[in-house]
Amino acid sequence: MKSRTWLRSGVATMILLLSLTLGGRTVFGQLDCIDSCLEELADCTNRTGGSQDCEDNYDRCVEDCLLAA
Amino acid sequence: MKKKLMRVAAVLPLLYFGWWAASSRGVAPPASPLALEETLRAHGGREAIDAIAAFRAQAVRLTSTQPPAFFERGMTLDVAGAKFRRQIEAPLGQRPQVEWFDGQRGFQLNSLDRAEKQPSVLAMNERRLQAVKSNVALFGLLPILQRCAELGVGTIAQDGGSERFSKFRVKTSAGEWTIYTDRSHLIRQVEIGPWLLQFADYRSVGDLRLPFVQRLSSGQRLVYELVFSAIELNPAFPAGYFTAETPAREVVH
Repeated sequence: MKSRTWLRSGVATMILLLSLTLGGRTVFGQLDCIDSCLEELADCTNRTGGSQDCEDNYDRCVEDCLLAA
Repeated sequence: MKKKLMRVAAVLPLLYFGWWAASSRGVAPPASPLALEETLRAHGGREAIDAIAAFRAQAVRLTSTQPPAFFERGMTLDVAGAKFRRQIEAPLGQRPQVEWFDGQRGFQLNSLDRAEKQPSVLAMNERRLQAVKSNVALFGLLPILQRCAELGVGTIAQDGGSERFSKFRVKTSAGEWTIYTDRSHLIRQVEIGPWLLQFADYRSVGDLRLPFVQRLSSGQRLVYELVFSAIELNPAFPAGYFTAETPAREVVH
């Protein structure tokens, strides 16, 4: 029982340290943002068969992801 | 088995903390004030950078979709102080989009409205304006050099880097950046928050040395690549070039 508690606290400490180190870097958030742009692009392409509007919207969406820079 | 697990659980965080403390985000060697000056000098010098009041840069932007696919756009960016104007075109030049900032407000002129055969000028909302400003600030190395040459910007930490690169951090008015330079002190990479900018193909432009290829990535993913075809320093823009009426009139004609 004791060892489980130690194991849990060890894992929790590691997660905490990782979170602290990555605190200033939001790489995952940026990639999520770009992934959502890709999803919108796929939707638009499926809906319209592909168009310049889809490409322009994707370009704009990716630019908006840079906002946090 | 349980004891072993306990030991591993206790030691791993300590090892991790040790690695973290020894890394660049922990204790860094004292900063050399020369690192930034040498870098600015390699690109033409502080004086030459300060002398740039305006520029025009033309590039092709390849925005990555699902690798290896990408979208191609031709881009022209005109900057004079805080004002800018940006034109984006599809490869065959159809339906150009023009966006500009007159120093106070941002506007966009979308492709011609087919019904009225007139371009529509729209005021940009604040969020979009900030996004365009962020992109303008990362369009080529020149805006980055200008930011680094501002008064009060200095090296705050210098890390060992590698055989190929020197690495140092600077505190700018836009936050802390990590800069990697090669043996000639030319900037090869800049880390700005979660973004990594990489530069290549340096050429002489007036008194400056500027890269003509730029890549922007996040994590391991390429976001876009810029291939510059021309960079003009201190061009003369006509009066009213950054006001709302001019781009609309030009597109109509």
